[in-house]
Amino acid sequence: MSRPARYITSSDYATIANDSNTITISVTIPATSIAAGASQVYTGTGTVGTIGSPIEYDINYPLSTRRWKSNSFLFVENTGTASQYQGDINVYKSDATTVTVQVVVFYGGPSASVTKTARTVTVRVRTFLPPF
Amino acid sequence: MTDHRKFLLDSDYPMDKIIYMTSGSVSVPNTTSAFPGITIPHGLPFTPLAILQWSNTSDFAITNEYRDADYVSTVFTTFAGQYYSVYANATNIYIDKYNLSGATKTLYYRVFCFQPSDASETSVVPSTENQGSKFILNTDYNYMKLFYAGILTTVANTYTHNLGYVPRVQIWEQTGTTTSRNILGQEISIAAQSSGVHITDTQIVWLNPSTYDKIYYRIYVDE
Repeated sequence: MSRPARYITSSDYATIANDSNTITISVTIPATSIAAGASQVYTGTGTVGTIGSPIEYDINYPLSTRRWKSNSFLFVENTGTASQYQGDINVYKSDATTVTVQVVVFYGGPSASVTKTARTVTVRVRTFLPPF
Repeated sequence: MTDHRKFLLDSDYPMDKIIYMTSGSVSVPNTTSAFPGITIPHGLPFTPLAILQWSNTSDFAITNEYRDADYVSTVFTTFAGQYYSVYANATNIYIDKYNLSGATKTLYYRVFCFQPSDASETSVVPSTENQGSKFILNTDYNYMKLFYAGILTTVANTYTHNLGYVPRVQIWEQTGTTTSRNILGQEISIAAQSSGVHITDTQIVWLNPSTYDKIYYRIYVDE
């Protein structure tokens, strides 16, 4: 059994299973203003059914239709006045069966404040069963 | 019989095989920032593709892969909480440790690995520990059917799968001699500056390839 790639399955190797949990979590960033140097946090949650299962997810930030595969996601939007705000999206298990999407928006200046554009971030989360 | 997603097992596609597993626990004091924090010799004849699960409880009731709930604080530039990440080279698996939660934490970790698609097919891979006696299929689940495992490069940055839906995909990056799951994606209003790996119902694309040498991907028939 030294060539696992050749076998459809093999009792010598563990595998991973699809537990058919798929949820979509949306978080809306409102079109409100944010002061220079300030952060705002927006969250959304969803329930997955299996305790202890790791999650696999993709992220859509609505500047495009792309579904990003990333565990470290940044977005940056220009505001048209030489200013921009940026943000970070964090996806994590907040309890045994809840997945939380946290969007942190930050504005660094140079104006005293900037008005954000309303955006709805969607994260599709799927869980699978680990070998342990 | 055309929808392979509905099959528990499908002889058209292999079940993916985990070629290495390990687990353990360590105490991580507050203000720890250790890169790497844990070194695990893997003994494999190639650099594996590793996935980390971690928890602060032995039952893994809350299972994280990277950051925990508290990592991103309300102040964007100030990070708190914990994060642990895994990477590997030809000799070892490494787990980075980062704890700014304000308290000592117990890290329970589980690591499991896949064989990269460019590893020699004749590589001598030891059996995963004890699986021969534990291998039981459960009809409650679909076993993830590996559609294709491959590599994206800065030149060949697209693979067309044509499944017609967005499948489950696992990805790793390789930089130098190490492989890691820590992959940055960024969507920027100056479109040409957006970068990262994205998936569509027909393709997996490494947009504006940079930062890494290559991307390993494993696409599953499962949706």
